[in-house]
Amino acid sequence: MDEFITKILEKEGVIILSLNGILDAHTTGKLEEVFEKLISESKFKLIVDFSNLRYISSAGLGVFMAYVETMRENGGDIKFAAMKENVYNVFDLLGFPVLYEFYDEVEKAEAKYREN
Amino acid sequence: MLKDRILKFYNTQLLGKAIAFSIIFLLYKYFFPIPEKFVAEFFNELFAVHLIFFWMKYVPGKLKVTVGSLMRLYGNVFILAFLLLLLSLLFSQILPDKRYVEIGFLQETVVLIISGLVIVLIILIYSTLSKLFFYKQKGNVQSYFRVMAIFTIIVGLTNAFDPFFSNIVSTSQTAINDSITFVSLLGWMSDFENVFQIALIIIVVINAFRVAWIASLNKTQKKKLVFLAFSSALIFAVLVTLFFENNLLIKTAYLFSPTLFIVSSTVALYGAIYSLVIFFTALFHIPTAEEADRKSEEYSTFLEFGNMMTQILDFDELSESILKLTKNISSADLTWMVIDNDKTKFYTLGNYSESLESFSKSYYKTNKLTKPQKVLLKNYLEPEEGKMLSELLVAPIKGRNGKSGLVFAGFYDEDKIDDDLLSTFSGLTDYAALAIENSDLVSASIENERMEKELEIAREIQMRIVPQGVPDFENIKACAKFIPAFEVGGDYYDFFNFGDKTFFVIADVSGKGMEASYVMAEMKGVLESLTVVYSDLRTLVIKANEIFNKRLNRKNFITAIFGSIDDSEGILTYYRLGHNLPIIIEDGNTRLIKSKGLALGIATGEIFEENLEKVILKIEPEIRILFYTDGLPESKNEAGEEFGYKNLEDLMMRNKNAGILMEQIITEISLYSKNNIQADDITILIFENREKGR
Repeated sequence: MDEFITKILEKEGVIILSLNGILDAHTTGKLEEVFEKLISESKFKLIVDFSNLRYISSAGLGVFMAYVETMRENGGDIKFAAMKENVYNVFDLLGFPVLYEFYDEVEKAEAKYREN
Repeated sequence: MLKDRILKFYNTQLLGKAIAFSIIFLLYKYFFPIPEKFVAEFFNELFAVHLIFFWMKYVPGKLKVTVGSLMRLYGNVFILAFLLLLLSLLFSQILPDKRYVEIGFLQETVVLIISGLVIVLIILIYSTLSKLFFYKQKGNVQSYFRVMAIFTIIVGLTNAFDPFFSNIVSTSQTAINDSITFVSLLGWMSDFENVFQIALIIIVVINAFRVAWIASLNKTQKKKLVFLAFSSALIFAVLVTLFFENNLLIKTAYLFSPTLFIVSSTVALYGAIYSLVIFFTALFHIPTAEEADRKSEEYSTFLEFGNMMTQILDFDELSESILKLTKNISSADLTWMVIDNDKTKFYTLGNYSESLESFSKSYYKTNKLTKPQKVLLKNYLEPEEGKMLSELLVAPIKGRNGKSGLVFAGFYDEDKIDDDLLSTFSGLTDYAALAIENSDLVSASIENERMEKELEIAREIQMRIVPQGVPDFENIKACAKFIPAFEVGGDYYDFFNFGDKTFFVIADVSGKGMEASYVMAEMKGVLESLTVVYSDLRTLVIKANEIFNKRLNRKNFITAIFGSIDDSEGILTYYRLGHNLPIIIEDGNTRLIKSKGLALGIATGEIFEENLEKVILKIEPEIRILFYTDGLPESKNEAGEEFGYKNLEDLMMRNKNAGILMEQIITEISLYSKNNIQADDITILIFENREKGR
């Protein structure tokens, strides 16, 4: 089994979710659980820190698609930050950068939340 | 020969013979109610002994004895003895008190009926007692019982013929005074009757100690047995004394058959002594009964666990059984457990307070137990309103493949946990771990089977959806190849007539297996109709996206390239919808063709339309274009490295013909990933100028 670890950090009302390892069909369940938990706690402002994510499959992308609308409907968002090139390419190929906000650093995403 | 015949006679067709002798004896009794003559008495006893013999041999064989029925059997003995007593007290006045007295037909009938009842009761008592006697006895105990039977008959017969012997002896003695003759031998034998009687009593006492069945009873049953045995002994004792008094039994028996009288009194005597022995044995067994109960409970619990391992596969059901069994074996007030498998889960038999769950989970996290432990609770746990647990037994479940946990047994009272219980628990939890593992394995294999069946169907659907071959064009040559993965990956390509052009699609549906093949089938249907309705490619793309935005669930999408081929002009037009970038070779160089475009099903309306970018290619003789799905560049070798774009571009550079290029790509890919399972479908679509291929 490829390992996949998530870490949650709360900073001034913004959740920074760090992903570590490989996000594919086998590990999406764990990420879904995290999202469900955050939603149940009414935490909708999210930054996903991809700096330690080595690989993402299409199933992994699907998880973000499934939850980003819920976050936005509740005045929040999922902002994507600090992706490795290979991971970004997967998002890019599908056209995600048009739909969602991508940042090269977590701090920039935080700044964006603070602006509003 | 003769011996065999006799053995056969006394061992076969018992019921038939028992009935036959009953009828013969009954008729005989009407013809010779009072056997005054020696010969008459001889036949009387011959029939009586056979009647009793066959019934006594037949009835015990029909009684079944199990651990559960032991108490009931002995209870029956008590009831039968009581009925016998009742009978003898009720009818003692009706019957004549002397043998060899002429009585009327009616009275004879009454005597026969009552005697018959006595015989029935005696046979039933005998049969039940013999069943208890033989229960869990090893070795040659049957001979003890036979000796008892033989002596009973001897005593009975000597008793029956005693009056005749005495007669002969007394009359002879007056006639022949001196010499020791045959007659005096008979007299001596008549005295010897007492010796047989004493021997019989000794044998009866010895046989009364066969009470092994008491050990199989539990504590409450033993307590009941003490009272039952005491009462039975009392009744049998009264019956025995009645045999020596002038009462019904003696009358009936004598009227009927002296041998029967002895048999009856022996049975009563045996019943009395046997009940007395039972009384004392049960009495002395009671103090150790609890311990014995626990041992036997333990034994049956382990047996149940054995059954459970093969029968209960559903985990919730299994956990319930484990908890019930642990509750039984420990006599705990409540049992519960936590099982850790990715997540820590809590299982109980009832509804208890939340504090129990949180306590157990945190106990599991902080304590790494290796063997069962007793835990005294200082800050009391209150699983139920107003009830505080005072001690806990905690035992670890150690699964080999991941699952582990703790079983808890809680007690409201103190000092319920001893070393014995702790060691029992350690065996118990080993079994529990095995059962849990087994259920996991079996459910995994069931799941596997189901998934395999599903995959088979999905693959079949996929193979039907994907076209056989490619259309023939005048100016453009097309090559297509679809290599399915073991697990259906969701690749799809197709061609449709599109006005005067040809529509082509290469797509990858997110998700796998059944789900993917279902979306693929839907896609084929949607495109089939859209290509008929619309003639403009862009409109078709937008309509298709609208449909799939509605049809797909939130986390699914389709990456695709929708294109059209204008064969007469040699022009290929396409929209890339989130799909992998096509590779083109032109002017001797390869490059990836970048263009905007969102995958189907991720966005609607304006944002989707704004990002559509049409790519138009004139397929000149030097141009070759490769469409593919991600399975191609992402094929992995043993080291987990992807095949990549560089290799693809090299292959394109080396090969000057679409057909050969296709072959080359397939060969290279299979060589590259030969030791790996192909994780995803691979689809390849190549277009080139037909001139080129010639």
